[in-house]
Amino acid sequence: MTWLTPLAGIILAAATLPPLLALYILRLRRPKRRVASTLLWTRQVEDLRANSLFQRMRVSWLLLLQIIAVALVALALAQPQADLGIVESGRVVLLIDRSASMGVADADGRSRLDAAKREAHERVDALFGAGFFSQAPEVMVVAIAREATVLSPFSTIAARAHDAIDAIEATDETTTLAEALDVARSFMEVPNPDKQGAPQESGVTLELWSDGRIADVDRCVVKAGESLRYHPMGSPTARNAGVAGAGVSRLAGNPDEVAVFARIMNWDEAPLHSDVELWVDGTLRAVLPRGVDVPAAGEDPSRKTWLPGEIRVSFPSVTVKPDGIVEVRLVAVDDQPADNRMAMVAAPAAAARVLLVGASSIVRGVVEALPVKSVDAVSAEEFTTRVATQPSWVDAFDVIVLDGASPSSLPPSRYLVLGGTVPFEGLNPYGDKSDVSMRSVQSAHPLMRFVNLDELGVARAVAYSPASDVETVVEGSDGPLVMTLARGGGQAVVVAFNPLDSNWPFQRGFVNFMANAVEFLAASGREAALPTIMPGDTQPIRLPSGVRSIELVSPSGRTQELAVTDPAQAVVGPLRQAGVWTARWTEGGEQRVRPIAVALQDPREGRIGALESLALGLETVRGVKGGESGRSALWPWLLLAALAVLTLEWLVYLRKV
Amino acid sequence: MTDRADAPKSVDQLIDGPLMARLDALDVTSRKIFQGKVQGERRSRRRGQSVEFADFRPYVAGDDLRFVDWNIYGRLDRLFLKLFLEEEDLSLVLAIDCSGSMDWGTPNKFDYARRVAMALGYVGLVNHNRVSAFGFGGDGFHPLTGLRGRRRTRDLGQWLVDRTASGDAGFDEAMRTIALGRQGRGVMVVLSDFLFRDGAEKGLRSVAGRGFDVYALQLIAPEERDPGMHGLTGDLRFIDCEDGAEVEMTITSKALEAYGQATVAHATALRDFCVRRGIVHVPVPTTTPVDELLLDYLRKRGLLR
Repeated sequence: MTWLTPLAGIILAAATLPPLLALYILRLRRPKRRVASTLLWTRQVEDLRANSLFQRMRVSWLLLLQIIAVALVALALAQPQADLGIVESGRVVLLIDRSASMGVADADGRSRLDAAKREAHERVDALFGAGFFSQAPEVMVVAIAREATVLSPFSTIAARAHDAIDAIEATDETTTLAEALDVARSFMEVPNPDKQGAPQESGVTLELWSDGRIADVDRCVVKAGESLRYHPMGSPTARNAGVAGAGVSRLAGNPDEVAVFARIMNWDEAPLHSDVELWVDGTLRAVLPRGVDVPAAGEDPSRKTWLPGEIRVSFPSVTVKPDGIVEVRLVAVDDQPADNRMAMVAAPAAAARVLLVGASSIVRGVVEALPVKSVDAVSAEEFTTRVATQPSWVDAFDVIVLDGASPSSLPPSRYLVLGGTVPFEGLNPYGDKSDVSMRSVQSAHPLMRFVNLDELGVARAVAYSPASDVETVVEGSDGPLVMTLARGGGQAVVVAFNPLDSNWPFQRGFVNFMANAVEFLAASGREAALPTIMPGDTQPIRLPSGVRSIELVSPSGRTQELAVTDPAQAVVGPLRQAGVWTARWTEGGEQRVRPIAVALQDPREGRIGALESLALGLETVRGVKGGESGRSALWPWLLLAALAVLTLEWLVYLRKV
Repeated sequence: MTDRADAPKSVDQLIDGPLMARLDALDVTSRKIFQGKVQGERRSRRRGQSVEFADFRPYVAGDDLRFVDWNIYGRLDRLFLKLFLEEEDLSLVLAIDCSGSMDWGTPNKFDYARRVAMALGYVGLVNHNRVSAFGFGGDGFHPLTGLRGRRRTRDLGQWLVDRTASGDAGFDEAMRTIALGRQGRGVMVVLSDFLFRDGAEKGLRSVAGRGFDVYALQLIAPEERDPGMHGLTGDLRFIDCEDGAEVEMTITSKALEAYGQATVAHATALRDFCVRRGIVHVPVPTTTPVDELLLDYLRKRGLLR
């Protein structure tokens, strides 16, 4: 039994019981009444004559009953809670955490998720076997991780709930709860359109099996009519350390070699010493000579926050072939191995291939003077035709320069737009401006390196009203002049005016800008490593036309065939497991492979010690012990008992009077 | 103590004309015929000098020759003495409890006792009985003796008006004093509530069998008979009218029931004692009209005829 507000009960008892006893000890001030003689009354005397302030305490049923009533009210005020095995007959939502930390095997040798599923099964059995007087509840099963997945909507069929629980698989994702609550509430809405938004008449019990490591727990609230039972899973003292982040950088002068660096974190309260290894394509390539010593986690006195121990390491440069898998491994054994590895897919450097569309001779001359791999040129009409028939044609180029061209559609790629209007969402062209001068420049931007626009004069420019996600690099006197934006996996640098409509080609900054733009765009498509995504993310893969299906192989080796509906790309995922996924497809009789690195990069998920209680936005929910059906509030029963005692006291009083 | 507005302030308030007229037809009687000091209007068992013939007996030396029946002597030549019923006077003693407990109740017990005493005394005076009245209470022992004849009615009335009720009764001492100062035999009427802490037995024993035909009239106020019906409830502190003793009580149905049982036990014990001692015990609720008490109850009990 637990007490939510024991102090309140103690205060009430201390404030009422002594006065109550005093009322029985202190002599009653009675009105005086003259009688002929007290001779016949003295035989019935209950309160003997006395002049003292106090009288001897006598056994009184009334006093006993009053003490019991006050004690019951005091106990009720202390809000005791106990597991009475009461089973709700309303709606029950079973929320089962399947995040990465739930994979920790500290629940009697099994993973937390397995233990949670077992308890959930028992709970379902208890709910549907409540007994003669209980109505079968409606049970909903929701798996929560980075996003909530309804595995079984509200149903009165126990087998459906059991099947849904069995279908829950472990992921390496983080945990969020707010979305799960929203999803559950959306199922609680009354379907009658006349009563949209009306609350359910019966209450809803949310039962959460989790280790409590929930990223957005402070934003969750339990609304009126809802009750949340938290079943903590796992040990509060689970140890964990892992690779919280890693990256590669290409070495200047040797594009085939990369330097690898990583961030190691320790969430345990003891320092960690471990070896850290670097693997490339499944082969151990390097080990840090003396391992690493990661400090212990602890409270940061200056910021009053709990911080994990952290250390950054870097490896000697290694040669990595294109699409090679670079993996950093922490050798130390802990309770959560999922974050002990972080893989990345390396992308080798290569000189840019540039396509000029409708380019003027000045632009062409400048681009051909840049250190690029190749420069091709097509007219605007030819570009439009080729793109319409073969969108993947653009993949053959790293940078496409649209010099005054205004195509009606553009496949995702990297574009440098010089004048003209392009159909990118969010640019919002609305006319022309004339006699525009430069007003401000983001001089720190890579595009503006060694570029001076002080003498820039523009005779005519396209007027844009860009959206908020469009970055303005150069602001003109009457609107943006140079912008960058990312759309559909591509990148674009938009110059609002044709260089020939300005004095820019005659300035040295124009050449530098062109070089910066080509390098900037080419780099966006050719990182040293492909982006490593988080578990639960999706990954778009650009495909040549004609590919109808791809194979997706999980880190554990399970193969899944996916049909391709978009002729230009396929989106795989969400990829819930950390590790290296592989997408395979056949292109022109050749099998192509695209590795996708997924890694748990959220430091919040690294702290895996189970929490005994959940600190929600407005309240703290204490966890119920394993096997408990839930703690029931006892105060209504205590108040009922107090009422019964008071009734009995009244009857005794009446009988006495 | 007796300064209530409704307390009788004059003789007329003790007894009124209509009641006196109705009482004129009554006389005090006794279950015994006593020897009086003077020749009265009452037949005595003793042979005396009245005109009413009783019997003959042979003459013995020393007999008064005036009572020899000379006619029988002439006829029988033997001396017979002619015997007559002697007519004696009756002594009516009124003992009035003037203790504090009497000055209580509605109607007031003390006022009621004075009215009854006035009525009985009037009957006695009208019938030329020797009437004595004794008041006993906190103010002491107040005797009024030697009243005879209708003309002493006002004296008796004034004496009663002057009496006040307070303090302890001193019943035993008063009864003993009355018994010792007895003048002749007669009827004694004790008007009291008999609520004495030491009991009434000792005092009654003093007067019982001492030539008195004792009538114990126990006056009971309505509040004493049924206190629950007269608003007695809750937590109270009782103050005794006589000695000021305080008793704290929580008036419950149980307490009222026990009080009723105690009241009955007290009356029963007094009645049993009176029966054993030849005393007539008459419980008198003060709600009983005085004329009804005298003309009905006391006539049935033989005190009046």
